[in-house]
Amino acid sequence: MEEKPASAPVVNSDIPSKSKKRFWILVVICILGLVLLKMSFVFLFIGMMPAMVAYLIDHDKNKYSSSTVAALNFAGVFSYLMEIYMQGGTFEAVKERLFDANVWLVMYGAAAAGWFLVWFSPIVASVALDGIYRGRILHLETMQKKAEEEWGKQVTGHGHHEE
Amino acid sequence: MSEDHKPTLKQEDFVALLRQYTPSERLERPRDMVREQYRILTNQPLPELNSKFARAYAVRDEQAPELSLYALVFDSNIPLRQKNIAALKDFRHPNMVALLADGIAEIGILSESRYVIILEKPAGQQLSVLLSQGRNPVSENILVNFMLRPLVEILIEFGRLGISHNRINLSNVYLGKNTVILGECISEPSGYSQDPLFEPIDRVITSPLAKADFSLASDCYAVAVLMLHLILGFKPFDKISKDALVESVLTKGSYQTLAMQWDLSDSMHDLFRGLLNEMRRERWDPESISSWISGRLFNLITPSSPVEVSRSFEFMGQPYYSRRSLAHAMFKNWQEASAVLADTKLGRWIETSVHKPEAAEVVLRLAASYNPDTVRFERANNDLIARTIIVLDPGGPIRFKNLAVTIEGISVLLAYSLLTHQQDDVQTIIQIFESDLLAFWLEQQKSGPDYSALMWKLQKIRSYIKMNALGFGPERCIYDLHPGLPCQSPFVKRYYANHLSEVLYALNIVAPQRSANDDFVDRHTAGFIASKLDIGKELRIHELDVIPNLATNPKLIGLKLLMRAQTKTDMDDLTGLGFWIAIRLFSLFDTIHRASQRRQIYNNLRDVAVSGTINDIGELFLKPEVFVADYTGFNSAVAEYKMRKAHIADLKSNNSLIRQSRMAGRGIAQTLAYSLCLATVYFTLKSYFHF
Repeated sequence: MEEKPASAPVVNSDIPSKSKKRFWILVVICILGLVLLKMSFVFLFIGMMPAMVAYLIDHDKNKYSSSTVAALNFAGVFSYLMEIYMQGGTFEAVKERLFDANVWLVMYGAAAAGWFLVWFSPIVASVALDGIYRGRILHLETMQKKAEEEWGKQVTGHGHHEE
Repeated sequence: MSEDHKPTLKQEDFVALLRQYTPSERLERPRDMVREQYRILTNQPLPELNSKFARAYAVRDEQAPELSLYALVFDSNIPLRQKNIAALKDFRHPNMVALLADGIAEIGILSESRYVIILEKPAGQQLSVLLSQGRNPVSENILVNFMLRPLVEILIEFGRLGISHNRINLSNVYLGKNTVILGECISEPSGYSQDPLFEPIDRVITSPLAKADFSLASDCYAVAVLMLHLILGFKPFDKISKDALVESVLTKGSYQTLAMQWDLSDSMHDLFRGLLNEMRRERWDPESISSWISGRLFNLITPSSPVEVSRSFEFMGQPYYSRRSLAHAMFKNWQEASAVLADTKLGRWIETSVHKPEAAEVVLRLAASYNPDTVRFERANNDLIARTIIVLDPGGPIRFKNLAVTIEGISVLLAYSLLTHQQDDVQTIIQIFESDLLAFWLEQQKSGPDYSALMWKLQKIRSYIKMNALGFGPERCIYDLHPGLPCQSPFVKRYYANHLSEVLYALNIVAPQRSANDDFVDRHTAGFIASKLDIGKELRIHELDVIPNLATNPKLIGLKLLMRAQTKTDMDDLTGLGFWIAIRLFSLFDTIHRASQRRQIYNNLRDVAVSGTINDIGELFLKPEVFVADYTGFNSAVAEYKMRKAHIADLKSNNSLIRQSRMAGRGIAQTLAYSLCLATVYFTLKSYFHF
């Protein structure tokens, strides 16, 4: 009788089942989108392509970058989406928008603005935080000095206290 | 000015304050004067009346300058014959020099205080000088009536007073106007410089400083030897060495060695037979001599020869016919003596030849414990040899290595050895105490004086002598054993301080000179104070038990001793000592980390030091809450400091800034994007649905 290996690799059976679940949710959303929005849904799909790319390349757990890009990308797409929808969600309406360069500029430009925000916000935050940190360090160093004066150099963990 | 802003006092400030201090009590003794009557003429030394422990000087009695007096100025490191001094102050006999006064005086040429005794200068010539001049025999009648009679009267009185002389010899007896004058007996410990010829064998073989203080029986022996010399008119044993004398007495007996060979009257031989007897119990006492003088006839036989057996015991190739001579030979050949214990020969000899089965049993038991590995078991074997010697000669002294001591005399030897830094002897005495040889010696005594009070004292010493704690050890023991001994600390020795209050005053006086380099309590001061306060348990600062290294700090224990001493003596104004304590304990406050606390303590310390109350100083140091609060506060401060330090390092590192900026930036971007998205959706929907 063949023995089992001492430690067999553990396979997380949750991962494929989750992906499958997500896949079927997407399929349902797509069917619902097509039923409700008709051809507007195709426009939404094309317009939100930068957001989808951003989602795929964003490995962050909280998906900050992709959600920022997606939010601005959607803001760029939404007004055209409403126009198409109000025109009955026909293929003609979609085609008309897709042949308009301004539409592309607005939709993808909005996504690009999202990317800019993702890049620029930490720089602004860094400048602001640097100022805050400097203040905090100054305060802590003052406290350290006071402690040394009160308890002597020994409080630093080395040396003898002096008057 | 608030406490925090006062300048912090430094150790140098305390030193400067102490330098300005002048003690009110100078502990000054009269200079070269005793009792404001006797002036010690230190420019007129009398070396012929010196002893090893006291220097003699001429004295002028301011009230009666015609008197011929002299003073004995004692060294401070030797216990005095206190009982003799006390008794002789009131003792007067025309045939003995009178002790007129005693006291402590500052001796100018020595620049220190010393104990001084004023004595009458003995009139006449030393017998030793007279007898050296040729044959001058004294007739029996003069000898008995004008020489022996007064000496016996003195001895009878001594017996009544409970003292003995132990310095009756040719150099200390003077001949004047057809009678003898007996010299003093208080210038040295009992029998220290006594001529071996004038002592019975048990005292001859004892170390000079370790002889029993009271031995009237040996005075009787000495009187006999003195009479023998006077009746012969010369010094027949002048050339005999001490070893030869001991050998002869041990093998032939005292009477046979000294008196038997002389052609004297039967009556005189009776006297010598009665007195020159090694057996203390058989020797005549002063009353018996008095009876003999009165004409009572004694039918005395010659004292028995010391030879106990016909079959000898061989030791180092020599035959020994008595236990006492064998014991002495073993003592003199200590290294070789262990060989005697290697087999059962000695036990069998005592049983079969000496016919002492009980002693034989003890010796056999000791031999059974003997270990042939003399290097590893040297100490245990030394103990066995000492015990064997005691069993062989129970009437003799306790002999251990190079020392032979009596239980009455061991205390003097301990004190002198310790004070003259003879460490080997001190160690030997400690071993004697540790081995409990004193109790063993006592067990072997069939009869004799009641030693229970002395043994109780010595057993207490036994427990103290090995203790290393301040207030114990040999230093403590010598003050317990000699309550009159002044404190031997080099700080106060020159003041001859033999009371607690004097020691405190002396410390107060020397504080300005000593505070820089010395601690305020050394082992002698501690031992002296502990003895006077009868402290029986090792001192510990229980108040500071929570801080172990302070609870056993010797300086704090010294402080506690001084606190108790001041309480006991109810003294104040010890400002000098207070500053000394403050200076020497100043460093202890280094353990207090909090600067503001230290500042406050230093200021308080100065105030209490100025007050001169040691108890107040003690309260400052022995406050556990101060140390504990500081200790716990400091630990928290260290932890907080460490935490803040880590925090600063974290804030200073770019990684943290980058990480935090990225996190914050993303959050901002997301919020902004969501807001724009929502606004777009809202306004688009509004434009279509006009809400």
